[in-house]
Amino acid sequence: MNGIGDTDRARETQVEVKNLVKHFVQRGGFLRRNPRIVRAVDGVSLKIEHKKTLGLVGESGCGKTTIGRCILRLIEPTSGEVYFQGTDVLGLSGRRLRRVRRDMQMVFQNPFSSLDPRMSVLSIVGEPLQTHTSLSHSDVRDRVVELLEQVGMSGEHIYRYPHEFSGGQLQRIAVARALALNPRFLVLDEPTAALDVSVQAQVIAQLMELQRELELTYLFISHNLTLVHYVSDTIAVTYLGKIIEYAEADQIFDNPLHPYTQALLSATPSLDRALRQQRVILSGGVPDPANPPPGCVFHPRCPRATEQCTKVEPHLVDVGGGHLVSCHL
Amino acid sequence: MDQPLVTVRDLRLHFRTYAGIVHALNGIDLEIHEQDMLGLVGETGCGKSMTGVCILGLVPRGGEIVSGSVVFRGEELLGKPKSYMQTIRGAKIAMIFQDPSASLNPLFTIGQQLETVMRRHQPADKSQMRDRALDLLKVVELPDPARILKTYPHELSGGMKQRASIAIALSCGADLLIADEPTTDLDVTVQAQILDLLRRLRETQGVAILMITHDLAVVAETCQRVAVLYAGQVVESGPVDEVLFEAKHPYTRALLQASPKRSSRGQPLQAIPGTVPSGLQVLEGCAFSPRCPHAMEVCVQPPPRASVTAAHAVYCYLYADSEE
Repeated sequence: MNGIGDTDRARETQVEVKNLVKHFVQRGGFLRRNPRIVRAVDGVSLKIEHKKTLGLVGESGCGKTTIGRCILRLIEPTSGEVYFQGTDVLGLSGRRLRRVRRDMQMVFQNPFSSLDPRMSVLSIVGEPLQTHTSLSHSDVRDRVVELLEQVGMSGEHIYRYPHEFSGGQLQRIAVARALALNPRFLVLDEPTAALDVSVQAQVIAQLMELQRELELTYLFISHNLTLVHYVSDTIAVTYLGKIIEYAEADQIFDNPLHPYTQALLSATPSLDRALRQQRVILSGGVPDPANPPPGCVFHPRCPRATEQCTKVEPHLVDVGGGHLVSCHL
Repeated sequence: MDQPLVTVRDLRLHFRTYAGIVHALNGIDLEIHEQDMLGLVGETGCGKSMTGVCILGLVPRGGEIVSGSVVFRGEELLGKPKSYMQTIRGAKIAMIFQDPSASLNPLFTIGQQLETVMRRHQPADKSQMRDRALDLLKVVELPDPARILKTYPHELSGGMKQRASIAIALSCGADLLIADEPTTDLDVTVQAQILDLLRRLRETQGVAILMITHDLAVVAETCQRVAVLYAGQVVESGPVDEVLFEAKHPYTRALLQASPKRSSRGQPLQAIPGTVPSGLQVLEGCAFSPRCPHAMEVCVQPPPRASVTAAHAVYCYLYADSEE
């Protein structure tokens, strides 16, 4: 890493999302006359720099997976803009979209369901190569062996099927598949939620090594705040389809400003002895995203809510040093 | 110290499968005291759920308890007839499961399900049972108990369903509550509520809790004592502060180093090399020795119990000389 060109590239924005909105319409009632609109993602903007990891944390139903899928256009966002290396992803179609997709890949939460049980490892990892390149059979096989070795597995596994592997091995295979086309950007959607801690440690260590080696950019989605803090450079905390706090990973942990982030931190069980402090326990659960509360979406559960919070919706404001928070306080 | 509420000694459970005999539990030793909160931690397949199930006498089909004893209040439970166990289960020892939407019956209201358990163990007339049900829902801090009685499980959120299933488990004044991953399916903020509730129930209801979980941090936050399981054996047990912060057994240490901590950011997570043994092999010596960085020749023999302090025991040759 030397020369001015490299530093410039390091600061380059790899992925930028502006005001992303995804509403799902649920039809219900007699003759489906009462559609309910679920605001899964409601105006999310974020930026990920080259070779960095953005952690996206939040509880179930806060829209974190939907954000990841919208960026890759696995589902079509209702509105908003997504840029990948300066290209407007939402404006692309056909061949040009396929070209961009080679550079953006996803690893899903549960490898037991994301890998086809009837396909061998060779076809699972080789499938993207067959779709996107014109490599010969033997070249595909060589590349698959190389990929498996890259994720710390032996190349002799290529003729085996998913049921012959453990969860950690399957997740490595899923990572190998995602890496097949030399992507620049990976969306990791809860990649270790289905794994035991010792296996999680192996997979996380592998992912971080691959990021260094292959200069990858990650969007790391998880509900586990400690894990996100561990892997990310910046963290975005989401609640009910909105980003409510956005800052450097250490800033979020050492100086959380939003009451929700504070509650989330204090609710997270910790192994650090010094951190077993008095906790803020929130009442209730996450509200129905089809019918979000007026004003600040968090106010019904917020221990410090005021009159203003029930009426006026706060916006993300920079409180210094790139630490953004959406709260009236 | 007074007699423990439950003593489990040398519990061995085998499953007969086409591939051979699976050794699920290989000599579990546990003690649960009155009003204790004991954490049972370990990774997938280490036998933590099976231990809970064996205490209740609910061995799944194909399983066979080969040896061992489970003594509850001075009375041996293994080998007791089914009908007798039915008077213990739900009344003296109750269980809550990981997924409340699977453990609650979707076709009956919460009130009906509470009543079913009460009618089985402590029959009373309808209005008395209803009053008791209302009290229980108040104990588990559900808002508007009268309304909750008439709701079906699908109308409640995950956290509320788990509260309702705790109410059902407590309905007959159980002395021991076996909680099998009670918060694994819940969000962190809701998990914190449920853990807080369980902690308070231990004090207010005088119930002992066996907390089965894979999450060391949950144990650190809630339990007084902990037993770490590996391949169907207890490898280390003792007070939480000693076991988790002055871990002795190489497996406990490895597990702690593999868990991300706030203070460990920037340092690589230490993965444990190798994989958990399959259970099909007969384990002669220490089950962890093939993956252990400190393995010695002597580790092919069963590890001895070494006392670190009066309450803190570790099963490992590294500490064997401290036994004298």
